[in-house]
Amino acid sequence: MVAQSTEATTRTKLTLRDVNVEVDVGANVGLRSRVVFPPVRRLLEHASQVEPRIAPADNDDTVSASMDADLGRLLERYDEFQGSKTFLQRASSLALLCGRPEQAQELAAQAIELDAQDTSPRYRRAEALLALGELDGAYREFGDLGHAGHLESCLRMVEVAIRKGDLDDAQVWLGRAEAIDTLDWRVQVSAGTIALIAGAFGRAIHHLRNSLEDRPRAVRVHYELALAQMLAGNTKNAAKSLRRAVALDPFEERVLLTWTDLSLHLHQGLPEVGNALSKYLAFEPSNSSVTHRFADVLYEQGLNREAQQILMQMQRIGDDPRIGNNLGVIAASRHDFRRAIAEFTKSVNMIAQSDVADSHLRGVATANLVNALIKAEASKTTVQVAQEFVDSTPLSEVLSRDPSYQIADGLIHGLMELGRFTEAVGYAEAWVGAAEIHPRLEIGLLEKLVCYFTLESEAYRKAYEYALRAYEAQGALTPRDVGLKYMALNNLAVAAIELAKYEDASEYLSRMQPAPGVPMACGYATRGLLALRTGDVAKGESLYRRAIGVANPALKTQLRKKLDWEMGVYWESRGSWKRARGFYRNVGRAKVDGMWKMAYLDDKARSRLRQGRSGKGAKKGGSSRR
Amino acid sequence: MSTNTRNLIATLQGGLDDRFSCIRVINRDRQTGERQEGHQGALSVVFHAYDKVTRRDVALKFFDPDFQGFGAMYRMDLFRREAELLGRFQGKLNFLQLVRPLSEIPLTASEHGKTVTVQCAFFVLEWLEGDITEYFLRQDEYDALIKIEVFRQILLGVFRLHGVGIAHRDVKYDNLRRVDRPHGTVVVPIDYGTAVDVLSLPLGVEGDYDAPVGAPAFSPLEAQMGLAGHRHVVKAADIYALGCLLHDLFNVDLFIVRLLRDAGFQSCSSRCKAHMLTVEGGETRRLTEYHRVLSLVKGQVTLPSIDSDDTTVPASGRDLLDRLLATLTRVDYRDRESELDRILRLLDAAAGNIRHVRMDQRRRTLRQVIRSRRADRQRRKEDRLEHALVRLTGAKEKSGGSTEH
Repeated sequence: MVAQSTEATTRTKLTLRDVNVEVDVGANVGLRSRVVFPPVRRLLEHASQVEPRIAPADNDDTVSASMDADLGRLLERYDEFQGSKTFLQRASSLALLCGRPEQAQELAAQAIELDAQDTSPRYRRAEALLALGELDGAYREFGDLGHAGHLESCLRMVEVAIRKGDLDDAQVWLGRAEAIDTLDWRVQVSAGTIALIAGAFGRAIHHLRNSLEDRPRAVRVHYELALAQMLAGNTKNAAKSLRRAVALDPFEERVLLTWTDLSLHLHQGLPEVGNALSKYLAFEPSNSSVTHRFADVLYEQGLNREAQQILMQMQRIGDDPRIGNNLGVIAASRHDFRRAIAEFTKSVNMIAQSDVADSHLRGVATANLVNALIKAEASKTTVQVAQEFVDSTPLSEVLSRDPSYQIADGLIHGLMELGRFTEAVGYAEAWVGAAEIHPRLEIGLLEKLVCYFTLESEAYRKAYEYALRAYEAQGALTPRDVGLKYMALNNLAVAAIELAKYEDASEYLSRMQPAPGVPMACGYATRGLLALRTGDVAKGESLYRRAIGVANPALKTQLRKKLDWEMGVYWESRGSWKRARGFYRNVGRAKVDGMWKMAYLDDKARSRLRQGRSGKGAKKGGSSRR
Repeated sequence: MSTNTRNLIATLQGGLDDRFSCIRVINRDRQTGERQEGHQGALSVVFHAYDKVTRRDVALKFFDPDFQGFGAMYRMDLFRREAELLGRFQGKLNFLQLVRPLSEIPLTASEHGKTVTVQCAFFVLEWLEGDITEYFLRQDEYDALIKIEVFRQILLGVFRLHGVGIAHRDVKYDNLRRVDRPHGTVVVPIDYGTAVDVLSLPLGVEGDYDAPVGAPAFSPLEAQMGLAGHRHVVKAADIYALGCLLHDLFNVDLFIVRLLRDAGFQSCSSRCKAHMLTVEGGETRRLTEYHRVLSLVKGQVTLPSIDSDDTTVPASGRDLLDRLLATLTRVDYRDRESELDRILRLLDAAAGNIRHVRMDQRRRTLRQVIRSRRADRQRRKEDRLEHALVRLTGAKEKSGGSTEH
């Protein structure tokens, strides 16, 4: 049968602001660098070739204890114990904890005087120097101690190197630490972290797993392990590691958000994630990031009413374009497109009036609005909104970014709905050749072109070319895009049949794999068309009837029209003009309620009927396929 | 200026009731009456004196006469409670003994030409020497078995208090004295300013327990969460402090310093703190909420081991002492070991292990010495025999040669 483009049913999607994935590098060993990775979605999209961007963030030193009283009491005994190494070192570390690095340094220096060979007071002095901001002195001391075989100093030097962004130096110091004690869990954590930053995810997983054997309760190690697994493409294990980390600390927001994002992406374990989020919100009800995600998780589980309640509650606290967007999504999922369009419009306007330009959020809200307008069959407004977005945004961004590409797709869809095929085809042909284009948009546009050239203009050769391109572009799709792949093969088969390449068509049809969610009607119809063209009318008709039985209303009419035409042609070729006439008349009677009116079939049927009336029917055996 | 305190110091210089002489202030400046730098005690002014009746040194503890205004009544109640608790120890020789119960002396002062009389509350205690700070601040100079013995005595001292229904709440080495009593050497806790009867009601109101009542370095998590006044947790707080003391006997860094280095503890502590700040209501509700949040976050904490880079704990006792430390310092107070028998069993087993390994080493050394001596003796014997043989052969040769001739 009929070439088909994928429908816009899956376009309207609840999308929230992305949160960067952050890791406190070696936080468990007292190191303080933070590394910022791109958000989960981007990490997963580029998991195979990712080179994670790292940006050391500010220190987040949460150690704050008021130990002044203890320090004061300890120093009361100074005169008595000033000759004791234990006393001086204990007082030094306590002074450092109390935020008195100068005092700490002085006490450590006195301890060094008592025993210059002991590395421990020297390490303490270096720590105090670091706190004082005397970095050169501190690094020198750590370096000397590291060379002398002091493990913690080597790890400190690893941290210093990471902060400087010098991974080679970090590797050197790590090597020294490994030479001292390779089994120490802190060494393993540092090795894992360096490997993670360097992009050696397999090695990172190995080291981090080793360190977890010693420290199974270290939340951050579980988190770093999850990140390495995610980047190595092992999302299932990453989800497991994150689950463990959340079980150990349900209030670690970063971990919770990453787990939620990953689970939403995988669409797995959502009830458990929902529980964790609700537990978090029971303690921290004002956290908007978590609340948003909770609504998202509920929505993904089909609990629309609950999701809506949460979002409306948030809207009452403070209006945010994201909330409007998400409420619109829920309304759209309940087929309340009027409400959805109102919410999306409000959201788009709010973003436009906002001082901070959030292009991603603008893209999400506009894409959702365009999709809702398509659903509501408001083609004129669809074109207006999409055109405005496309005109005001750099083309490369529109074509390559998700979800902006959906707006471009929506524009073509709207134009075709309005019958402005020339404009639509002009845009589509120009865009499919662009250097940067989202694979889904490319395939979508190619399919639209195939449909146009098959169903509207009968340019089957062109249709075949585009169908072939669409088929070749499938490599960029994910396994989840099974519908797109199915339709690309179907369209290719249709174009091949029209070009009488029956063997090729048969080959393409054999590659089509039925799966849940793909429109089976098209596959049946195309097989029926092949049977009809190769002379097996009974099989062809039977397959067509089967396709009509499972098709949606708009497609049903299209399929009926095409079947009637094919049957008319068949009977005319067999010399049974009376039978053929009945089918031709049916072609003219069927009014397609959709984008592809197949008007050319009406014209052709009318012309046949006219010819038949004047010439008492076509000659027996006359070819009339085209 | 601490006018009243200065007057008190001046007044007592002449003696008190013809019974106490040589009185000198301990925790205030002798001239100004100001609190000395570093001294933290807020409740009282302490004097050292000589008791002419018992012919022993005593401590005179006065309620700070300058403490007035908001909270004075509460502080006075605490002072009375301390005296009342000490009164219970009369005749029990393993406890700190009260020499004179709570009394008052009038303190007269002239101000702006008017004479004002202030009543000063005080009680008298026995003066205990036997500071055990040495074992902690010079821990590297003492043998492990001696330190274990000291800890055993500390343990018994604190549990003795628990046995009479009192929790100290400020257990630290400054507040412990090792003294000789008729039945042997014991460790006696002193300074009962924060001690409570576990069956009594808290004297403070909500907000008085925002900070731990004892030293922060020896205070457990629950005390830092505003639950220091709750009677359910007080004994467990003492046990935690015992754990800290055990750790500090063998390590350079304080237990709290190492605990704060654990990211899991930091996270657990901050989560609990954040939640407890939002909790309103009575003690029971606060405790319930604390249990609720703690059960969710305690899993991530990794307690410091007794074995650090600078530890002086012998390898032979390390595992058992580590286990003991873990049972005493668990984050959740409900999980801490409260049975003295079990604690002692672990401690004695650790000491036994250390002793056995040492004895074994000594035996081995001794055997080695004996073996080497035996070898020496054997060698000497062989040498002697050889010499004798050489001499004998030489003599024979001599005599044989003469025969031939």
